[in-house]
Amino acid sequence: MFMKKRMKQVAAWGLCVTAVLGLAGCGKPAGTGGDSEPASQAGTVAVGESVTGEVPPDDNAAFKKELIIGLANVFTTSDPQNTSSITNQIFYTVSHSNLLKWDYDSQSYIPDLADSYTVSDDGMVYTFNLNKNAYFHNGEPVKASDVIFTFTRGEEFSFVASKVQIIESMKAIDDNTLEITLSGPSTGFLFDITNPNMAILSEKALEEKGEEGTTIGSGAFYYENIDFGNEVSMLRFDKYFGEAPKTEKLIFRQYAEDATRVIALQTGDIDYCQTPSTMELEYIAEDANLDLIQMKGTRLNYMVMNVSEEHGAPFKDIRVRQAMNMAINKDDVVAVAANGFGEVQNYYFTDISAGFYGGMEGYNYNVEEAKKLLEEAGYADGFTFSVLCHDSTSRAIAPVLQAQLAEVGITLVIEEVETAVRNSMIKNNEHDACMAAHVSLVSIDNNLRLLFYTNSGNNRMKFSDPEFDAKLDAALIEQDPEKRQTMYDELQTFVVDEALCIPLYVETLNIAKKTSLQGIKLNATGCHDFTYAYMVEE
Amino acid sequence: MHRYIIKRLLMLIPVLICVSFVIYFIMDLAPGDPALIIAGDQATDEMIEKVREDYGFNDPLIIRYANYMKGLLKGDMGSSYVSKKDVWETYCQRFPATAKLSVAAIIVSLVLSLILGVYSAVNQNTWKDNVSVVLALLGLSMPQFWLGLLLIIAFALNLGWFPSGGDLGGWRSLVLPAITIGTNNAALMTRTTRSSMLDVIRQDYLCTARAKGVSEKKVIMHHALRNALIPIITIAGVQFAYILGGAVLVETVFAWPGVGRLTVDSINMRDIPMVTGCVVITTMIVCVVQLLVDILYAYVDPRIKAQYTK
Repeated sequence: MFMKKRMKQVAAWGLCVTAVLGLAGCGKPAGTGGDSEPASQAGTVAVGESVTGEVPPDDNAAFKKELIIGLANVFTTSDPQNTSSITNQIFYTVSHSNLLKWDYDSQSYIPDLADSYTVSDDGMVYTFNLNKNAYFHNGEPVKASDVIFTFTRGEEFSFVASKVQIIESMKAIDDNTLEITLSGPSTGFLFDITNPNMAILSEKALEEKGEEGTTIGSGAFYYENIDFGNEVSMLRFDKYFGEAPKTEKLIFRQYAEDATRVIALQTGDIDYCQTPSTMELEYIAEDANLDLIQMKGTRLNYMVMNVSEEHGAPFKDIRVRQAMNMAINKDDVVAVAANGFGEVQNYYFTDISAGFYGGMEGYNYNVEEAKKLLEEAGYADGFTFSVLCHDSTSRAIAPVLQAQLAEVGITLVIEEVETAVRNSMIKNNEHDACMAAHVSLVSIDNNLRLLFYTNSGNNRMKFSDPEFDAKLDAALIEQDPEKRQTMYDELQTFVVDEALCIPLYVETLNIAKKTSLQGIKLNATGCHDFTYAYMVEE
Repeated sequence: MHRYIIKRLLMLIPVLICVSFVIYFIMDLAPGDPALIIAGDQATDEMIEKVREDYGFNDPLIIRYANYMKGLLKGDMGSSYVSKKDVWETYCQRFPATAKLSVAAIIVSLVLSLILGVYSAVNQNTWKDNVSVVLALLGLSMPQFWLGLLLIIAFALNLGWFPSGGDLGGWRSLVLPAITIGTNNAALMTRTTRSSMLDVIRQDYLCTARAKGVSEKKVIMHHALRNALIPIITIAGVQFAYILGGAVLVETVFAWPGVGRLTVDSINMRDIPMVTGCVVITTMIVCVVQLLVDILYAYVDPRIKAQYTK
């Protein structure tokens, strides 16, 4: 009897503790809209547009001085030349300037540091006239010599070297006039100089401060404090040559945990949430104080097959690669691995790229045809191969592919490795296959070159075809736009027909922000521009 | 006493040499080419080779280690391969947040464990004792990331009392992460306090104190608890040193800018100077904390002080 009573008391205590935590956890969040309030709708915007439905502020409006941006990924380096990370590039967009910018709306170049430029008739000499009011954050004026210094320095960095290798010589006509001579005509050169890797650095700052000098740019904001992997604060640069931003301070803070990042937005600790988890989207859509914006991204998830001579069978055989492509039901991959937030894709690039060809068919789901092709290739009983998975997305996709390939008798072994290990294995040609992602670049030439050109850094399939390389080089220097486009169309069709990879889906880009946060220039690559982001003070 | 402290500090030297060598050796064995990480995945073979040459990756391990130690003796821990920032500077930027969190968490642990442990021991084999044991078990078995998220949902999202994450300065951002770590540690310390108190409570000198008319409160708090403190201090010291090394999960959930996240991020990026630097400095701190704990013994128990003096 006494024992029973004691047990009841213990149980009661346990229930009390659970109930306190549970009730607190299940209540209505502070500061969120009630049932009667209309939930904000998920908006859809096109590439490069500002958020739809935004109303320009009144002339007399007062703006919030500080905006806090919650990031999922870490800021790892202040050197624009030494990274290709989209998160890092978000910072350079506000801290540094390029010679020109690419405008997605008008699909044309717009001035940045260069007010204007001219191209010689042979397409080899570019003359840039720099803005005379442009200053670096250390107070020094931006000079033609800084551009020369920046591009010369870039030869040492892999992300820049490929873009500056076409430059034969550079000459500063005067402080504000720069002449760049190319080794041959190139249609990709102007695209390249709009890349954040090509942001202009201050020669004096680097000479005086060494690597730390890379923080000195000529953008609208300068670095106040950098704590890599945690928080970065930036202040408005009053000598910025462009239109002055409305916000005085930008704080970028990393919230690695998806749930915490969304909660931080809901509680008002941050104003913008980078890539909220698809599991959290309904909470954002239900909250009247928040906007959920969804746009088609440019990040393609795909599976790479090692087609190199050294690696040999089975992927050397095009029939095997075609069969692999046909054995995959991409709708299921999107449904399972991306919770439905993605668009099935049969080719490698997206329409964000100038010169993209949309007339390709690719390979559709057809198990019977896949089996037939495998039989013809001598793999009627299938084969076994391993795929390297290095991040959460690839770990989500691989099991789906494993199940689907099993239906045609192919055994996929999932090999989970860290990114550093994966990259080393790929570099040393030690992989059968790997999961990968590619963010479409502005120029179709850059995309083709990066993924398929012999020995290119992202040519993870180790594809090498001198004829393909020669055709790509020829397209780059072709001056007749129609002829050039035809050449690129053929090259795009060729790589899809060769079935060198299995393109799966392009991720939907989810953006969550406070309704009152306006003025962000969205970019389908995820590299959004916060220069003119603002919140009107209530 | 002074001689003992100097002896212990001198013992730090071989410990640091061993730890730095082991971590250097492990990082060298770990798969993944740091030259490739530094050069970037679009680098040509020539660029990667240049990085290998510039950073000395082609030298034998022992030469690289010797160079590292040479720098260390001059106070130079090197620069991060990734951010290019000075290792010591980066660590110092993160350490205050970790130190703050560690102190707050250990205070939460001590307060909870002393109250629950003493209460439980004094009421041994009653329902009060059982409730304390259940609470301790609950704290011990709850994963920290889960408790952290629950606290964020309850106290940041629903009640709006505390910020959801980040070190925003002031005490409010410290509360939830400190409770998360503190609760988990308190569970272990409660059990230690309880068993240590039970050992002491049965001693004859407590009966003598009671017989002399000393109040029960004074008997427990002054005579029993003080004599039960040595194991509690030991555990608290170990836990404190552990948190100082970085509570990665809690730091991740609360976006707390501590050294734990710095170390793990650096490991993932094969940032050898940063990893080695973090481990060496953390080892030094842990050794110093353990030394302080040993010194504290002397103040708690005069018999130990006498031994140190000998």
